[in-house]
Parts: sequence; structure tokens; C-alpha cells
Amino acid sequence: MTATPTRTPAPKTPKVNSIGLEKNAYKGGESTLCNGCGHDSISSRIINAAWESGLDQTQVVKFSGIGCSSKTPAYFLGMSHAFNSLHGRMPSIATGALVANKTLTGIGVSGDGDTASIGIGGFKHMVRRNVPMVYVVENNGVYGLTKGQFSATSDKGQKLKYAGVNNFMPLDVCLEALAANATFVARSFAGDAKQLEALLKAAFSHKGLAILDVISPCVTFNNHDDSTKSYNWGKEHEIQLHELNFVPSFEQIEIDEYDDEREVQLHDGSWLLLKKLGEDYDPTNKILAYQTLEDARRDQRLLTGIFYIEPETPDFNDLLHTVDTPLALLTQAETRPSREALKHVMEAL
Amino acid sequence: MAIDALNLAERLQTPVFVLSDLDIGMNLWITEAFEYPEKPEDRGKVLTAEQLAAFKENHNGQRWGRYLDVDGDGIPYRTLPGTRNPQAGYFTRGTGHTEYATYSERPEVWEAMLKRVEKKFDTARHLVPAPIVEENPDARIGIITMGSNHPAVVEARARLDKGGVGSAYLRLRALPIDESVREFISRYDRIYVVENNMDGQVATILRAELPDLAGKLVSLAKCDGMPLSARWITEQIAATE
Repeated sequence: MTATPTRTPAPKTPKVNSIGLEKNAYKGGESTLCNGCGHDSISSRIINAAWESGLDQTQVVKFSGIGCSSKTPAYFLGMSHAFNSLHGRMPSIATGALVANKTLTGIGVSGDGDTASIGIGGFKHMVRRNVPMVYVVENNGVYGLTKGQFSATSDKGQKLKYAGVNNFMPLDVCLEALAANATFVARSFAGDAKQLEALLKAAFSHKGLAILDVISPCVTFNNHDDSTKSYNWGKEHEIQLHELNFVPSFEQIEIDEYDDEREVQLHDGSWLLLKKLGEDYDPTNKILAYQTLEDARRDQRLLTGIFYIEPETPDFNDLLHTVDTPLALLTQAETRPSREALKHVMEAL
Repeated sequence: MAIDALNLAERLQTPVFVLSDLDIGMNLWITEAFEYPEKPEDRGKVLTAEQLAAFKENHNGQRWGRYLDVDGDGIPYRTLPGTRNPQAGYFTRGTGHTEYATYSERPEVWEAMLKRVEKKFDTARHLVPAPIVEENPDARIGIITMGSNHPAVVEARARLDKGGVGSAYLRLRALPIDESVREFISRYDRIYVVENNMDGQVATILRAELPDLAGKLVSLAKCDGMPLSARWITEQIAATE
């Protein structure tokens, strides 16, 4: 028997969130992506999760690289600052911005090309540094913006209309993140609204970098039934590792007793509840995470859920020992060394 | 120089490239002690939440736009992430955008944005470090160089002077150039552009910037992995003069 927190239900569907805003206030511009694109579903989930979490948009900053996925920050959280960086360079831009102001909530949106091909170096180093940000990989296994070439996450043997057959093994974004010492690794499916929202909320509450690999079908170039990144394949093959529930820190917690749940308390006091579905999965066991991901890859299963989490590991700003005031807001009087300090340096040379 | 470069980058809202070379970068040099910088930092046109709220009132009823030039220098005002004003956020992107940072594919919007950047480029001409000019009313030739070629040019000028070839001198310290470079080139019959690279890159830039004076420019470019020598510069100029 495990003591488990359960939630007291929140008041029924409030019209405004905890900071008094309606959901419409969390929307962005109109999407220019193809109708039915998985990326648009993910944007909707981000809008919902941000609204329900009561995020203050003026304290959120959005980042992206290049690709269909990277256009999407224009379509959600319209009141937030956003930066559409160079291809594969989102992690560098985001790292700088989130060190300049460590109080901001960062959301990075990238694709499988932007993260697993041209940006794999920046991705791994951002993971290694545990930069506090939610990093969403909108993974469709194809280069959509350039009209349908294979990406680094395309399956071996996959067929595409113009590109032929892919002969190379894919990279697994979650395994790459684990190998780079990620502190939050999860996978979801753009068609699974409930799970994706729970994961996004947990990711917002995570201290450090939260990697969310979201399989997001490309309706134009990669949505045929034998593609592992299609809607039909995803719906038929998705296996949830656990049923997820997220209880934000501002909701009242009561302790109850269950033996089929595993709970993880996040740094900000929120709870992540993982209800057992068949396998008894411990998301704090890294070796188990490797094994589970490798098995799923070998068996061609779309396994979704939280593979690994370390809620208390120091983030990048902790490791840099930055002061409490955001660096961007320090005054010149606080940052300029004294006349004597320069004299001391000159004398030492 | 690094302080100036960072101030310029914030004032002009653009990357600033600080050029060095192998001679400066990989050898130990003795310099004068650094002086304490007296100038305050320049963060450029950054609006706080309060300044943004009062923007319209302070700018003849004009609403703030991230890429809107309200004072004619091509540099708009910006806000920093985290500014507590719901109007402060904007999307920075490489594709077409309006003065209010919204997406646009209209050709006239695209062109207007480039015209503004062109205006900013002209503003930059007067903000970057100006050339250091040493005129010589008796000379028929001028020399332009930059960076670590300076000591070699100083020595070459002394040698040429001894041989009866007087010269004026302009040491370029930044691009884009201002009017003083045009005036300098106009004043002399021939201008030798001395540079330590294979292609005469600065001569090419000056010819493009001042096409009507391009005929006066003589490129003296050399790149053999060593600093330029006074002897080589002297010989090259003396051979023509």
C-alpha cells in the first residue's frame, strides 16, 4: 500500500483561469499549416495546458528553429515574446535567453529535422546542461516544409512518394535525450489530447529541461497507413506506459491510499500521478527507461508516457550560481567592476 | 573596443563583428594599461513596461510597433522578454513582417522593411569609430589601411618621404564608412589600399561604396602568413611613384 495524493476536484470548468483570463487570450495567430496537421493539435494542447496552469504570458518566452513545427509558436500564446532562430540553433538562442532571465518560462518547439539532424549537437548540449525549458519535438519523420524528404527519425524501410525507400536506422529522440543525461523524458502522440496535456503541465512544472517527443502526423507527406508517424498507425499502435494525471501545486492535495499508482512530486509542489496499466513502471529508474525504449523500438510499438524523471537535479542556472535578480535586469551599478578592480588586474599583469 | 562593440550592437540592434588577425590574436604584445571606461553602457532603445504604456502619449499618438521607425534613424524601439505589459510580446522571425511584427507576404511590406534597414545602415556610419586621418597638403598620394598593418605603414611612409614621395594616411577603423573616406580619396591623385589578405577585400568594398572614385584606388594586397613589412609596402608604392 502506498500513500498517494489524490486531487480534490477543481470547480467545474471555470470560464477564467487562476489569473483571471479566458482561454481565448492564450491563442496566437491563425495557422498556415495544412488542414489536419498534427502540429496544430499540439498547439491547441499547449494553449489548454498553459491556460489551465494559469501561466502569465508576459513571463513566457517561446523559441523555435526552422521547419513546419518551428512556425507554430506564432499560433499559440500570442502575448509572449518569441524567437524563430536559425535551423537547428534554437537550443543556443534559448540557453542564452533563459540565462539572461532565469525567471521566465521557456517553451521550445522544434521538429525531427531541426532537432535530430542539423540541430542534434545543440540538442544534446542543451540536455546536458539541463536548461530550464519545455522542449517539444513535433516528430513527423519527414521534411514537410521542403516537400517530403526523409528525416533522421524516419523508420528504416519507410517508403515516401518522392523519396523512395529509407535505408538508414532512425535516431530515437528519447534515447538520445537519456544518453545526454536528461532529467525529464516523455513521448506522446498528437492525437492523444488528454495524455499530451497532462505531460505538458508536468513539463511546465519540471525544474530543468523537459523533453517531450510528440509523434505528429504529416497529413501531406507521411500519413499513409504503413508509416509509424501516421494517425491510423498511431491510433492502432499507441500503448500507454501508464495513465497520467497531473495535480498542479495550487490545487488542494489530500492523501489517500492506492496500490496501483506511482506518484512523483515535482519541484514546484505539483504531483504527477502515474496509474499502473499492466506493467509496473518506475520512471526514476534510468536503466529501465533505456530497456523500455529499446524494446519498444525493436517491437515497433508506439509507447507513450513518462520514461524518465529526476525532479530535484540542479538546473543550468543553479550550476552557474547566478544571482537571484535576472541578469538582464541588473543595473550598471551592480555589474560594473570598480576602478580599483581594474587597477588590481592591470597591476597583476 | 569590446565595450564599444557591445554598445553598438544594442544601439543598432544588429550583430557587430570585431575583426582581429593572426598577428594580434596569437602573439603576446605589450600595451599601455587599460583605462577605466568612463562612458555608461548603452542598452539602446529598450522600453520598460511603464514606457510602453506611455508610448502613444509620448509619440504624437503613434502606437508602438516593434519594427516601426518613429524617429527617422531606422532603429525602432524594442521590449525585452519578461516585460510585464500584455502589449510587449512580439514574434521575431526572418520571414516577411509588418512594422507591428505580424506576418506578411506583401511585396511592399517587405520592401519597406528593407528601406528601413538601409536607413539604419546610414545611421550606423556615424556611430561606428571614425577613421583616423593624417592629411598632407603637399602629397599626391594617399594610403588607406587598417588593424595591425598600421606600424608597417607608418614606417613605409617615413621611407617613402625620404625618397621624396610624400603621402597622406587614413586608418580605417570600422565599416560602414562615412563621408570622411570619400573626402580623403577625392583629395589625392591615387590611393593605395594596403591590406593583409589575398583578394584586396577592403579595396573591393570601397570600390562598391564609391564607384565614381573606384579608378583612384590601387589595391596592395598580400597574404603569406606573416605580418606586412614596411619594405614590401615601400617597394610596391615606389615602383609606381
